Amino acid sequence: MKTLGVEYQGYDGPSYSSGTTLFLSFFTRKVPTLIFAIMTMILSSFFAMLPAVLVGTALDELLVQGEVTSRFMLIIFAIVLSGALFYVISFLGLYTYVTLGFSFERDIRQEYFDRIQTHSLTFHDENNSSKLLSMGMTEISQMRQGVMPALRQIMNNIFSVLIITVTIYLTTDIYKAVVAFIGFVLYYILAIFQARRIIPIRTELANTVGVMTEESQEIFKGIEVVRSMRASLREIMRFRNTSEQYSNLGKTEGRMAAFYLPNVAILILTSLLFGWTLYDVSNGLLEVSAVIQVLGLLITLQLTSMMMPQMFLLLNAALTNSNRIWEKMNWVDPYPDPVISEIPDIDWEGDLEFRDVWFSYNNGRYALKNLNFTIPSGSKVAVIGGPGSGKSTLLKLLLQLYLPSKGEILISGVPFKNIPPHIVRQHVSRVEQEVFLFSGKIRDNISFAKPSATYEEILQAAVAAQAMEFISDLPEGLDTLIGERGVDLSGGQRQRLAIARAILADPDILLLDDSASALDSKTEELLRKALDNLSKDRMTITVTQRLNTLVKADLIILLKRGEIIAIGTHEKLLETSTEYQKIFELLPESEQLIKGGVS
Amino acid sequence: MSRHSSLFADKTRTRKSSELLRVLWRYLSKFKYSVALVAFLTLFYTAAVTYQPIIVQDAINLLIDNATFDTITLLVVFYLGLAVLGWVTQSLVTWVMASVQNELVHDLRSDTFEKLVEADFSYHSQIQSGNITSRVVNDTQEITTGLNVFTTSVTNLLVAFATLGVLFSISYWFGLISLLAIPTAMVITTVISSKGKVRMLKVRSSMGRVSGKLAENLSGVSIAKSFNQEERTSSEIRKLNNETYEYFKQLGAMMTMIFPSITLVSMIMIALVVYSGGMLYEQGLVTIGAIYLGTVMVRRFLSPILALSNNITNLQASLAALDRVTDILYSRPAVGNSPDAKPLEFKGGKVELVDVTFSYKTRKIESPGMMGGAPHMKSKGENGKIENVQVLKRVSFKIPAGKKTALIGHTGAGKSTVTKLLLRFYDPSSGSVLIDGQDLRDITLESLYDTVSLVSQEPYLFVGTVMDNIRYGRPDATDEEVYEIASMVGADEFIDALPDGYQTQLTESGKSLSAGQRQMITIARTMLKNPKILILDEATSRLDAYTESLVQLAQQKLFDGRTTLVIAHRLSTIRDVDQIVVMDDGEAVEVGTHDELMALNGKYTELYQTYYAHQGIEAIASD
Ligand SMILES: Nc1ncnc2c1ncn2[C@@H]1O[C@H](COP(=O)(O)OP(=O)(O)OP(=O)(O)O)[C@@H](O)[C@H]1O
Ligand SMILES: Nc1ncnc2c1ncn2[C@@H]1O[C@H](COP(=O)(O)OP(=O)(O)O)[C@@H](O)[C@H]1O
Ligand SMILES: [Mg+2]
Ligand SMILES: [Mg+2]
Repeated sequence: MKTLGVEYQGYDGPSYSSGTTLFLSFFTRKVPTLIFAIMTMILSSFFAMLPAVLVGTALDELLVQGEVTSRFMLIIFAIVLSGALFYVISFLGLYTYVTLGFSFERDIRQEYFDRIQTHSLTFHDENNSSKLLSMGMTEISQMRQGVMPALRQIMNNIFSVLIITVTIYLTTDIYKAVVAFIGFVLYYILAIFQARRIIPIRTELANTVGVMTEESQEIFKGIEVVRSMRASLREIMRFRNTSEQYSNLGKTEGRMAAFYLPNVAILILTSLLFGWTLYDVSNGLLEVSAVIQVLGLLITLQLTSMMMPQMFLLLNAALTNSNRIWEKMNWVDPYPDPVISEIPDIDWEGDLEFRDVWFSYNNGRYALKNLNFTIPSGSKVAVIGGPGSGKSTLLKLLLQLYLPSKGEILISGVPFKNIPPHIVRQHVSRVEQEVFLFSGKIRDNISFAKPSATYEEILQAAVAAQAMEFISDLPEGLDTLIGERGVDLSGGQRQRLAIARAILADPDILLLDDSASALDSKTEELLRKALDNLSKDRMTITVTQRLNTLVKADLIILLKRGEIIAIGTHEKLLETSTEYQKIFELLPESEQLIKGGVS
Repeated sequence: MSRHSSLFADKTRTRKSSELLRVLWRYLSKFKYSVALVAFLTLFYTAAVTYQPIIVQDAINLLIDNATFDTITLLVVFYLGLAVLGWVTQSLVTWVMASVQNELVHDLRSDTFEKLVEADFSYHSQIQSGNITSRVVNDTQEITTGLNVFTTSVTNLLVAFATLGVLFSISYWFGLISLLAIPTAMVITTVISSKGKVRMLKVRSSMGRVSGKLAENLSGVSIAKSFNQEERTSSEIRKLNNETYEYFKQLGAMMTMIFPSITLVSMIMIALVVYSGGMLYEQGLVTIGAIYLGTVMVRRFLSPILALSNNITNLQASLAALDRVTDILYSRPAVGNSPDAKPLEFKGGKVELVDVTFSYKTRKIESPGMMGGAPHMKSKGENGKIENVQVLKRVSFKIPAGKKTALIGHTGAGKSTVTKLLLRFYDPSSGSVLIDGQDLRDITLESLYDTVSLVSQEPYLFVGTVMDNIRYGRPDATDEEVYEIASMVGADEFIDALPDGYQTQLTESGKSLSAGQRQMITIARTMLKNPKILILDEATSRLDAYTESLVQLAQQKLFDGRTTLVIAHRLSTIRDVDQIVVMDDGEAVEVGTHDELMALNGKYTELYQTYYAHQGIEAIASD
């Protein structure tokens, strides 16, 4: 019938079998580049180690020859040369790896959002959006830190240990090489052991800082309530507690870093090899240069190992986060969309039927119960009911934001569940109760459903929604920015933009959630005109408190606690439903109407 | 929410470093003994690490001279001893500093939070809650980085001097070669703090944009779904994500230069030492051991120098954070208890506005991405905010004690502003607000809040149970009292139907409740507090007429004979009030009863008539 936007058929990016696989996918994303980065890493470990050996050789030459020889000069030149080679190679390697790391972060973030976005609203109800945000930003950044610097440094360190033990073997003997190797393995084991002790505290620290941030943000958002309810002191005490808890955890963590056991292993290893080499030299088994070389090598290795404990923690955090992210990405919908093999032909201008519809927000209570009714083609329907009676929920079902828990909704006899959601949403549009606008230009918000809309179309929609009335007062008209960095709009203004947005979507079935808005009478009058424009010639379902809409409706549905307690036209309900009578009498100025009708 | 942590935002600093350090010292002085201990331990640490390579030198020289077994053993033991000493002293420093740092941040954080809770509402309305939170959580933490810089700088300085001393004592040449480290460090620091900073800022603000968009698209997910625009939101994120990646690459290119450059320089320095050592050795001026010592020491000299110059950058960031925190710590709220404030003497609750003029202070936008840019011009529309526009202009009216008064007028007329002045969220620019003849500025805020309560236009709920929320203003209320109030306003019916009844957990400002339900809870919350003066600012706008009538009944029963101010657009909400005040564009234009005002045939009549016109009564009635 008409095309709206791009057809989006759900997430089509890669998927992973577990959190670990998600993390390890780093290795399979750009294999050749990664191989290059790793090769350069090995080479640069080699060049980083070389000077330690060369200094020993140079001094040996000096000692033996007793003067500066050309060979001595050659060795010095070799030191500078290996420095230069190190410079080039390690820069290339590092830079390649860094780009890999950042592209990993970028890709994961994109996949995360794309995946999360396609989850049904049940998911978004269950998950706090600010938590999802901090996962998408901070935790994914931490995943990247797991590959860069952590994995890189760990790999680099392993290569260094191997190269250096081999070099120790070459400059001394196999025993010292074995001892050095065992020493470093021991260091690693101790470091991992230590990391295991710290990990739970780290996790707790991260949680506490999360709680602290959330609590304080909540207080500042609701500061008017906090102060005027005289709860300041209470909240200050509560914050103090959280802060102290955090501070104690921080103290524990900090103290664990003191008396760091793995360093003792290194310390003993160095002293041991130092002593051992000294004895061997004094017994004439090794040259003096061996002392210089062994110590030089050990110092080089110590320098590269210094960061290892930190890197283990980063790697661990990355894996934990990866699992959490993976869980969110692979959330299993308790009410999965049915698989639709063939899109049926549908007459969207036909009758709409609710057949035994029950619905629950996955919380053990039915928000809608046993709804049975038919809306004839083209009707104007009004829905009324108290707070929480299920009016907005009913509209959400019609947009297929949720599927009924039981029963079905049919359009021209075709069950909704046989229609893919994006098809439903091409034909059904809603003006929501609490209007959500995106930050950006007003015109982009109006053309949200139809990005290809021309300026004329946007303008027409704005005029029809009675929104031009205030837009033309704004400094840049339709191009005015709204949202965080733009102008603030009042409730009535926002609502009219939402109407303009719906007008451009040009739906067959229009849903208006306008139950009781805080508008002054002038705005309300404009709004009514806008709504009249919008609802012309199409099936319209309106949640309303407006007397006039009720009286004019072809069908009124009265909801109470999720059930229909009365249904019919205004005249019929006035006669048959005492509930409706009660409500009608209380409606603004119905007495006037009744009196007016009588007189 | 560390999205806008302002690591590099030192350009806006307003205080001198010395002044800021004094502030820090005020907090640090509590730990002065710990600090002294740390300084003392640092001396030992420096001695240990400096002396260790000297032992190696001695060992090499002794070996060349065919040392005895015993001297070697002694040297090895000594070497090990120094290593252990270094480890122990460093560990002790870490241990002590762990307490100092964490306790200090806790003190700072709590004080900052407390100050912010009591800060002026004008402050809160100008700055996003996320940014305020960042002051409390991130900036205070940033200050410890500075503290760390302090202690590590001391250690680094000591080590650098000791190392330089050793080098010069071996040979002037070695000393001079090692000084190469200084220009190297300076070049690297300059690059980092100029170009690096610019690129860092770009990365940060770009990340900020990703985060902002992500936040928005997550909250607007149902809209994207409703209009089939998932592809679009996804590509918006992709675009920003790619942009950030490009900035990251630029930053990465620069940062990855640093480490290889340092290594290159240190290798050149080692080569120079070995070369000049060779020359000196020929002349018998140095030993082989000393040359070795020289190579170790030049390399070592580089790292404290680099650390020191790097610390200067960190310290800058830390001082900037301290500056922002100091702003808060030393701020004096404009609205607060005056020194001779007395508790309010309640005498019936007559409220009076005398010649009140008021304007909200300039709304400055705290630039979130640090890149700032020109703050957006605010529109002049009905809700637009422009500098110092007078929102109330010489408003005077009385709210009689024990009576119900209605305040009506178009959006933006200033109704909510009046309620904010009544609660002394702000003080009027001129004129005064009186309760029972006492100026609000002369009474304590506590007594004011005990007397006056507001149900505000925007229902705000806290994370917690429904019960906690209703009880928020009176934590000592019994369960029965809560049930009673809820049933009086007609909220019990839906609360009982919630999954866990009164114990249902509310998340994210009550996302799982309907709009009307949220409003009902705020009404119950305020009514439970049982104030002597009640203000309802469009408190029933999200309720249907039937529920509204229940609330009105409850209000009649509970607040009969108490001063009540009601703001509403629906005229049905205010049909039984004793007095009506009509506001228009910041002025109180008409005051009187319905009949009196109708007789005036002015603004009220106009409002009244549009109201019926839009209800379409005539149209229907004439059908
Ligand atoms: N996202 C959600 N998760 C869980 N429960 C929900 C959610 N949204 C609504 N509910 C519950 O479903 C019921 C119906 O809510 P709905 O929003 O449809 O009410 P409504 O009739 O539109 O009310 P109002 O007039 O206040 O807008 C309520 O009990 C509400 O608490
Ligand atoms: N916190 C604020 N900062 C700056 N301007 C404000 C603030 N709150 C309201 N205003 C402005 O003050 C004027 C009166 O607003 P308000 O008192 O909320 O009106 P009403 O409640 O009658 O709709 C409006 O122009 C509004 O934009
Ligand atoms: Mg609703
Ligand atoms: Mg208001």
